This record gives sequence, C-alpha cells and structure tokens, in this order.
Amino acid sequence: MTEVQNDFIQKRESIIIKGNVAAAYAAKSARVQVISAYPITPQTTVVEKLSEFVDNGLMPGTQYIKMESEHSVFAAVVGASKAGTRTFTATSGQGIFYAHEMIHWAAGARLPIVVSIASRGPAPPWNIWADFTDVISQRDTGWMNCFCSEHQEIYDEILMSYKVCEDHDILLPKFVSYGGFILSHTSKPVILEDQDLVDKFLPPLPSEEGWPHIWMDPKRPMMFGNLIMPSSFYYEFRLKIHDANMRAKEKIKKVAKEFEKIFGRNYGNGLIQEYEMDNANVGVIIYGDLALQMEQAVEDLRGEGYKVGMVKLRHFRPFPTENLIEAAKKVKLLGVIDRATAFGSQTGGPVSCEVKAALHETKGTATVLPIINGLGGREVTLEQQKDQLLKLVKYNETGELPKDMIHGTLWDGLLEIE
Amino acid sequence: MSESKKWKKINKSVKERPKVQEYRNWKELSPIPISLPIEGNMGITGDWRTFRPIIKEGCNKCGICWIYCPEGVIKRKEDGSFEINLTYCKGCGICAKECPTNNIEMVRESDIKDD
Amino acid sequence: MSDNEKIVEISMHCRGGQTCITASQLLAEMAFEEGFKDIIAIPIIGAERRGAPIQAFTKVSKSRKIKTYDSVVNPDYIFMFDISLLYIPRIKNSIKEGVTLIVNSPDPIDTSDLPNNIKIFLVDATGICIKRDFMHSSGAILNIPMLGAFGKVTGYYNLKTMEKVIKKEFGEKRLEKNMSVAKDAYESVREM
Repeated sequence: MTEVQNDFIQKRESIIIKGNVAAAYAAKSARVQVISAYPITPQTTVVEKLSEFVDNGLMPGTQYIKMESEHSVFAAVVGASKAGTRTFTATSGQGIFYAHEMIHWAAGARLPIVVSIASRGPAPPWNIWADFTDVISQRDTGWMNCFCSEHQEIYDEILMSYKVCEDHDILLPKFVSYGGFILSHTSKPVILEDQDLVDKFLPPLPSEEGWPHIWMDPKRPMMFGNLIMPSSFYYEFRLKIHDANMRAKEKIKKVAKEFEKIFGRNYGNGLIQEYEMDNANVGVIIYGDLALQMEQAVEDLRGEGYKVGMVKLRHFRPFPTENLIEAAKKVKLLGVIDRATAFGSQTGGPVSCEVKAALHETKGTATVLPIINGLGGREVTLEQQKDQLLKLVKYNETGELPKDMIHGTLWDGLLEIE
Repeated sequence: MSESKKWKKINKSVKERPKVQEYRNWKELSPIPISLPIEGNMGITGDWRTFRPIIKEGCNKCGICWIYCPEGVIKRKEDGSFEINLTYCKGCGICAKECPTNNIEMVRESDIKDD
Repeated sequence: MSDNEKIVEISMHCRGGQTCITASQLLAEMAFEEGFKDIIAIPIIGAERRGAPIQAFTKVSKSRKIKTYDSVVNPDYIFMFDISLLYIPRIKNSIKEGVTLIVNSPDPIDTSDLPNNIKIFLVDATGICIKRDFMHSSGAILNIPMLGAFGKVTGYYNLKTMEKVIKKEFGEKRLEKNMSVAKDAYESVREM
C-alpha cells in the first residue's frame, strides 16, 4: 500500500446514513456547483439534506435553486450545465416522466449532468415503492444509467459518474438509480471519503473553463441546439450520442479501476460484477438492491452444495453486451431477474429482453429464463430468492419449467389469497 | 489535435472561429450543433433582394428599424442615424413596414440607377 | 450459533407517533458505535398516520456483513411500544418461541396466548416520559426509554454510548432530558 493510501484510510469516517443521505453527501464531496430541487417521494430527503448543507455553509459557492416542477428542475440543470458547471439533482417516478422532455434535451446537448434516482413504481395504481420501470423507461434518451445495490455504492457511484460523464470525449448525462425505500430510507454504515482524496480523484471544475463543445458566455455568443434540416446533420448528431455511449464502456471500466486503486472498493469491471460464476451450472443476472441480497442467497446455496452464481448488472446504459456474453458462456442456464416491466415485449422484462437479444447470435451461451419480481416494492425475501435459484437448478436438471410461467416468463411471488 | 480540443479552441476564441463551418462527415462534427454568430454566416444574402430599403430624409433616428431587422444588417452610425448593409440585406421590407414615420421606402432594384 | 457469529434481528412495533422508526436507526448507531461490524435499520414505510400500527427492523452483526434488505420474520428481540399492538392477530402470531420481548407496560401482561418459551421484559416507558415531561404534541417520546431498557437487557451498549449517539444526532440542547429517561428505563427494566 502506498503512503498516500495508508495516510488516507486513517482519515476515513464511517457514519450510519440512509441511502438518500449518501447521495447528498456524494454531491457534496463531488463539489457540485449548482443543485436544482423539487421534492418527490422517495427522493425528497436527498435534496432536503443538500439544502441543509448549503444553508449551513458546508457547500460554499454552491447555488441551490428551488424550482416549481421536475420539468423546470431539469431545465435549470441543463441551463447551469451549459454554463460549464457541475450540476446535480434527484428525482423519482412521476417526476422523471414529467421531466422527460428535458431529459432528452440534456443528452442531446451532451451535458454531463448526474442525477440520482430513488426508483418508484409508475402510477396508476399510485405507488411510491421500489420499481425500476421509471428510470428504465428513459432507456432511449441517451442517458447512461446504472443501478446501485448498497448505500456505499450510491456514494461511490456518484463520484465515479462525474468522472465518466465529464470526460471530454464522452460528455453524456447519467442516472444513478437505487430502489426507493429499500435503499433510500434504510440506514447502513457509509464511508465518507476524505475531501482531499476525492478532489484528487475528481478535481473540482475550474470556474472559467466550460465544456469543450458548449460554453455559455456573453462575451463569446453562440447558439446551440438549433434547428437542423433533414438534409443536414441531425441524423449524424444522433449517431454521435450512440457512439459516445458505446465508447463510455471503456471509460467506465477505467474509472472503476482507478477508483479501486484510490479508495480500495471493487465494483467488478464497472459494468458488471460477477459472483461465484466460475464452475457454476446455473446463474442469474440481477440488478439493484436485490443483487446484494442475491449474493447472500448464492452464498447460502453454495453452502448447501448447489453450483449457482450471479452477475450483478451495474450498467444498463451503456449495455455491457460483450461482458454478458462472456458470463453467459460459463453457465448452462441463466435466470434474468427484473424489478421492472417492458409491457408487450418478448419477455415482459426490460433487462431479460436485452439479454436475450445480446446472446442470440453467440453459440455456447446459456439458455435464458426471464423472471420478474418485486414490482411496486413487493417484498422479495432472501428465502424467495433462494427458491428462485432452486427453481432454476431444477429446470436445468430436469427440464421441468417452474409452474408460474406466464407468457414465457416466471412472474415470481404473485399473491394467492386462500 | 483531438476532436474535443479542436472544438474547445474554436468555441473559446472569437478569432479562431472559421468564417464558414465545414464538416465532411459525422466524426468531424462537434457533439452538438452550434451556430457561431459571425458576419455572413448564412452567405451573401444581399443576392436575395428584389426590393431595396432606402432611408429617406427626415428620419427621426428612433431605432425601430434597427430593432426589427431580422438579419441584423442595420447599423447605427456615430451621428445616431442608421445605415443598411446591402451586402446582407435580403430585402424583406420589415423595416419599411415598422417605420413609425414611413421614412423607409422599398425601391425595386432594377429602378435604382446608381452603383 | 452465538451472538458473535449470527445476525441478530430486532423487530419493533409501535403506533404512528411513538417513534419506533427513529428507534430502529438509533439502535443501529449505538450498536455500530460499540463495534458491531455491520448494521442495517429498515423502516417499513407506507401511508403512516398517528395511531396506525408501524413497524421497523434493525439487524446487527458483530462479525458478518449484512446483505439482506428483507423484513424480519423470525426476530430475536421484539420491541412492543404499545401494549394494544400485542393483541393484533398478525403481530401476536409473529411472536415465536425463543424470542425476547421488551414491552412498554407498568404491569405484567397477559401471556395466556403466547408461546411458553419466551422472555418478557417490562419497562414503564410511558410512565417515565410523563414523569420527566418527555412528550411531543400527541404523546410520549418512547424511543429513548425503550432503547435504554434494551441496552440493559442485551448489554449491547451502555448509557455512555447512548449519550454519545444522542448527542451526535440531536445535539446538546435536550441531551440531559434524553439521558434522564434513558437512565430511568435502564435502571427500572425488569423481567416478568
């Protein structure tokens, strides 16, 4: 261990905080310059905590803007980001949908905004609990999107995200999402890193710099986001957003490595994290809070002699196709577990659809069994997850499909009232 | 020079801006479309003109034409009177329509004898 | 499995306003302060109102990393902030053999419907709060005395740790009052 690291680890402070508070601390550590805010359950305590920080003078120079809706919140961060500042906000569910127009705008203008999302189920029926349909429904906007499964990961991922997004060859916005209430309102120990080291990893933005492509400055007027005729370059600009997303994969890997070197916490290769996949027969791909609990289920079943493993999907956009193909070569059967819906699609689950599409041309990859569970915050217990793994093991051994298959997908944990 | 460095340089310094922006393919594009307000960005639009606005004697220098001109080709001179840059004036006639004292006349280009 | 190796699971039942959600978090903080390796405080959040039954959980472990977020179904300890909750069938049925109950009650409770092999500790938390004027707009602030009693029963933390955490969370201003109710409960909790 180098001297710097040693010195630094001693300065670490671990405190017990809610997931939302971890997101707020991350924004503070990242030295964001502009925060715009509008409350929505279950995100509200993120912006509440930030307003407390700003009010108490703990974030000198940070502008905190209260807006009247989520659409305006995103308009404000878009405007502030165009002026070359590091910006942050948080939202959930219906708030994301309301801001949808500006979400497209931020990606189209290639602004490195980072937004934390405490995911909640879309209404109706009215719902405020964990369900990733809200953030996954922004799939095609050009935003990068990652899932966190632990409080510490929320803090760490926000720091990593700024580093990826602000790379001058990437320049994309990013959602950092985690399950509403399950992570947002539970409390766990989180290590808040020393500011000097965070600054070394993610240097504060120089105030008069601006982004390479946009720089709002009255002395050097320019107009951006203007109308482009069909015969001109609109089509090409769209390609550039996709291109940046694809190139971001390498950057994400690089940043995850760098993060591990400095702070000592490993997040797989940044895109995915494998757990007990070597010499496994059956595996699952899972994301968000359920991924951490699934680790426990895998651990328990390994203890009982079952050869099971799992892949935690960290990034949904950009989608780690190559890594998933490699992982799918290791097992015979792969359950893909969604806590989100893609109605009317092949499997009904957004990630299972993508995994199927990713694997279909590669020989020797696993069969995919799509699973949906935990919609709208329906509790998924450790026992239920073990049972899911056992169902997969049984299917792999006997070829007998679980009995709750509906339209080719296992809808696990449906209510049956006697 | 990397793409991002190139764009940074162009956007930051007014002097570095090219008169006409030329891209051959998607790789050369900046991440988003940007219009840099420089004179003649849209070409020599004076060619489009059929009727020419002429400021007559008796202009009260109110500046309404200067505000309304969609192409920004009307300039205020030192004495406060106005002058139209005919290289870029496309002859739309908005200045003549808006002039509160009817002091701007649209004259057919072929009827103008001098120059 | 000894307490050192397992994940100890604690379930808390209260009525809206009786502050068990804060209690679950404070308990986690105090255990962490005492050197537990990992903790998690899980509130069950729904459409709360004053008086509705509320539940919160805390999981603590001295040696293991806690990876679960699910609610506790087989708790080692149950906090009963309000005696009326004990007779809600769902809650009564969740009391399994081997569990330790911490009940807010001045008098012994009716145990005829409960399993035999359980431990019950009584603390008159409401009485302590009334005596020390530790009240909010609609009743007693029960979390601190309940936690005081739990500290005594389990030995997971002492009054000194409580003081440290309360000071960190709520500041100096009401520290003395907080500690007076904690101490009263710590000293008066008794096994039934």
